[in-house]
Amino acid sequence: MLNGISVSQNLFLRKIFFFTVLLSLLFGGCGTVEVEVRKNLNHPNIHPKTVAILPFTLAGPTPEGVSVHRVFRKCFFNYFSYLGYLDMPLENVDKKLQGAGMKKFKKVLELSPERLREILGTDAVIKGRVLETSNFTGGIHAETSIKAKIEMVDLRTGEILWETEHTERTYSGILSPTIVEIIQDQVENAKVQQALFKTAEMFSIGVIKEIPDPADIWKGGVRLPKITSIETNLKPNQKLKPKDRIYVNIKGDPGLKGTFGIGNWKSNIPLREINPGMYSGSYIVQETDEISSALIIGTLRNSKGLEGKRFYKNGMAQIEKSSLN
Amino acid sequence: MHNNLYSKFLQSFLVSFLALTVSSCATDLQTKVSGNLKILSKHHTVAILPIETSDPGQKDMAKMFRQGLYANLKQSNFRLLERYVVDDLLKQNNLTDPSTFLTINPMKFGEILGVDAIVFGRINKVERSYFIVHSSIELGVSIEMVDTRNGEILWRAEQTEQDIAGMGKIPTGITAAIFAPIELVTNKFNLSRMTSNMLDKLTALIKKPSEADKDTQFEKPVIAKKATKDLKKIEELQQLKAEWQEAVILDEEAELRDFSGELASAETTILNETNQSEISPLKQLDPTVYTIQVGAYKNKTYAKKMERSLKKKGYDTFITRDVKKIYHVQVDRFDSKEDAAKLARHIETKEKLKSLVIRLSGV
Repeated sequence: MLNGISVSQNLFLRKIFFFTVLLSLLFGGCGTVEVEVRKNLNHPNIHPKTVAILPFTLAGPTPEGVSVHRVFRKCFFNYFSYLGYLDMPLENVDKKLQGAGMKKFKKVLELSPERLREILGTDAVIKGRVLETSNFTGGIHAETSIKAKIEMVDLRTGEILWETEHTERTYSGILSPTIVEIIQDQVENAKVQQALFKTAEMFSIGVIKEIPDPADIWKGGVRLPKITSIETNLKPNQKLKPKDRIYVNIKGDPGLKGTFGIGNWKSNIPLREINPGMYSGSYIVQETDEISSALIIGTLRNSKGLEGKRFYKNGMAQIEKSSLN
Repeated sequence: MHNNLYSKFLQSFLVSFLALTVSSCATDLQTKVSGNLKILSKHHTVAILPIETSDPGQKDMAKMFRQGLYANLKQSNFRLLERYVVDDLLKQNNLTDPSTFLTINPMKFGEILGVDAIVFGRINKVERSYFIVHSSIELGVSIEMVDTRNGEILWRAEQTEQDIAGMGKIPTGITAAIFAPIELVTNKFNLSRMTSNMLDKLTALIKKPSEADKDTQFEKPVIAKKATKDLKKIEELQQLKAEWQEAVILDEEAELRDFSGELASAETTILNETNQSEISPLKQLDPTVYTIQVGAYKNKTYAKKMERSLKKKGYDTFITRDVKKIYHVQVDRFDSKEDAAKLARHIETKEKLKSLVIRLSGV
């Protein structure tokens, strides 16, 4: 007897403890990222709309010299774009920073929110620091890990909106090894770049699950450029010959970029805004053109990249067969 | 002794090899792309529509799958329309049920979403099974990418992915044999990992369409069913319009001929007037019957179709054929042009049909 507990009871309790630890190790931890959301972002005026993901930094050496911070940033961007923010393409972010004299991206993190807003023109930025990385393959154990700190900073106020510091691990089940998994994981883990990408992917999925998504604040508010009418000189059943000219006029919202396309055969033929909201353009059929039953599609594009499209259904562009031969 | 050791080694090697090849993560992927996929560039926008599910319990999987599709297709040659824009525009147009998407003409999606192509996806299967020392998860998805400008299918794929845990993977101990099967089916992370792996393979070709070979490329352009139907309708309508325009020109020519005929008759009357004491009025000289022409077709079937439709609505409709073998669909006969014009106006307003009052030939 020990403190009123028999040896057999003690053994039983130890077994229970062992299995509880084992179960928590097996089922817990994997894929859960703790994100601290510092501000209630439910109000549309508070929620940042435009976001730039700054270049991620790297604190230490990486396995086989893989640029984990670059891989992770791209991977994070790919998943982040699913959320309801207007995210600036990474190339544009880099171009703007380089344009502002930022040759070394490490220094970007030192810039003040005001300066970043001036350079990028976004409501918020995401900063990422890769703190540690590892890729180990040996014995019955294979593991790849990324430890990083990611935060979103509101450039309008300088506040941190949410942040996380997390270590993501992908490893073979050391507690429940099977021959197949050991071999499989060893093989997969040996491809370092791929293993790091997979770990970055799981990290990104975990963060995206936890951070606020402003998609709901756009409800009913999305509006595409409007095209009220489209006209062409194409007549029903008309067969086109080389040197024939297809004229296209569209009427719609003023001040936008107008183009038209001929089916999926040709697109982005420019239209000129001849009067506010009146766009006009043409295309001359070439000897080498092969157009068969293609509808004319007018497009108006706004500064956000959203496009309004309209089909002209009263005539199709089609080349006379003899001209095709 | 040596032989015994060798055979034991061989046995365990074979078991391991078989287990690796048969029991590990299994994938069945069938994918095909169109040669025209290559023409999509950063100037073209693609929308990934909400994913259809075959069971209400697959909603989480559908969300995960769509999210993964977005992340993977971000690495392709074209631009993706933001998810919240897609969802909001679909809602504004009352298109919230993914199971109906394939019944809608892709061109309609092109106008509603302002995109060049759309991606439809469906979760066919999410199955978890557990039998103490063995468990498995099986996922099945299908996907189709359609060009909204002409209805061409740019990418079509179907994939099933299976993972197992337990005896099939040759556990090294009792823990692995008992807990691994439980862990596989209860830990949500496994579904996420499997979805991610599945998407890697599923989207590999669309991220690099130039790597498509003969087996993974459509032999000739395949047009989506709904688009084929609607394009045919547009073509038919254009055919009708072309024939109608041709017929209108013919009728106008006929009217001109009639008019010059009337002029000639009038001239004769005037001449007769001067020669004869008893003057016959023009009307008596030329008793005219008028009718309303509502359509003119080269194809008799179209003419018959229109005749039937108007007859059903109570109009006295009939067909005549002229020397140029054009079939004219005509309504009623009138002594007075004014009466004919009255009904013609009624037909135009009520039936939305362009009509023309003409002299009825052969009467």
